[in-house]
This record gives sequence, structure tokens and C-alpha cells, in this order.
Amino acid sequence: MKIIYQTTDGIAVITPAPNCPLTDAQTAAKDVPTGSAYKIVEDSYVPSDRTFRNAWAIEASELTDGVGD
Amino acid sequence: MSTIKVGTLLAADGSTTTQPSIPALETRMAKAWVNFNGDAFGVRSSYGVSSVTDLSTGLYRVNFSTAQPNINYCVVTSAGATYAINSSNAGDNRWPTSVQSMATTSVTTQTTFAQNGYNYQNNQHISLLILSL
Repeated sequence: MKIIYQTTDGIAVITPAPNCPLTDAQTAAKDVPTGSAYKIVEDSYVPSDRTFRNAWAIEASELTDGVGD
Repeated sequence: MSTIKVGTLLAADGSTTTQPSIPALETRMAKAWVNFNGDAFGVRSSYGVSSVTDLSTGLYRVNFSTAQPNINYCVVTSAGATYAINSSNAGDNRWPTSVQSMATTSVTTQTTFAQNGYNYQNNQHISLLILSL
């Protein structure tokens, strides 16, 4: 599971630590910057080819799963 | 001077998950650590870390499970690749890594690569160790 949010430079992708007791939603609320909208996605949603990592983009309208605390 | 010999030391509740408190030693113990792959992104193992954020090429934020008491904590970070000697990537395999910013809730680190003109580059083996009061 990954958590995606928009930054001023592009997209940030959060990977929860495997032994963290928090749920993905709790991790998102805690680790996404305050006020930033996020989306929780499957790992496969994130491209495995990182050649153009800094060009990744997402529509703000897709970030519908919550907002960072 | 007396000596205590014990096979197992548990917290008062008997749990194996609740850490016993040894105040005089706590500043010598890691508050958090993590080993992650910053290329094919994944967190291999960690303690005291809730997640790792891939911010962009070679730039990562480690988020703590519990906030540090202040930003005067100690960060030890390293990065290295798994290129075999005499492989096509042999040569100057220095991966300078450094702390870009520190907050009580997270630390941001960056990795660069000698063969890439010391520009940011994703790294396969990144480790951070946090010591604090």
C-alpha cells in the first residue's frame, strides 16, 4: 500500500513501515503534511520505472481519501 | 558493586512488546532506525518509524512513530549500492548521503552518486539511525 500526495515539486509517495501498528489511514493522517490531500493506492499504482520519477504527476481531483492532520 | 545476572528482562506488565525502562541507558539506545530501498521503493526493516516518504529522486523523508523531544537528535545515515566489483558499474562508487532537514517528527535525507556528477540519485540500500534524549 502506498499513500500519494502533491508537493510543490511533484508527487510524494509514502511507504508505511511493515511493522508499524498504525493503519494506512492513520499513517496517512499523521505523515502527510497538514492540509495536503492524499490518496491511498495499491503498490502497483506507482510506476516501477523511476527513470522520469521527478515528472510524475497526478490530478488534484484524484486525491480524495483524506487530508493530512 | 553488585552484579545482576538475568536471562530475560521484561517490563512490569510481563509483555514482551512493552520495553522495560532503564532511564540511565535510554540516551544510549536507538530511538529509531530504518533500512529501506530508495530505488525499487520499499522499507526492509525498521524500529520507531511509521513510514518513509519518497519525495523525489534521491530525496527521502523518514517519519517517526513517536516525535523526538527536540531537533537536537543525532542522525547517522549511509547509502550504498550492490554493484559487483568489475561490473559495468565498477569505478567510483561513492554515494555521499546527508541530512537535508530535521524536524521532531521526521528527518529528510538525500543520496547522491559520484558517477552521476554527485547529483541526486536513488539508492538501493539506505540506512538511518536516530539517537536522542
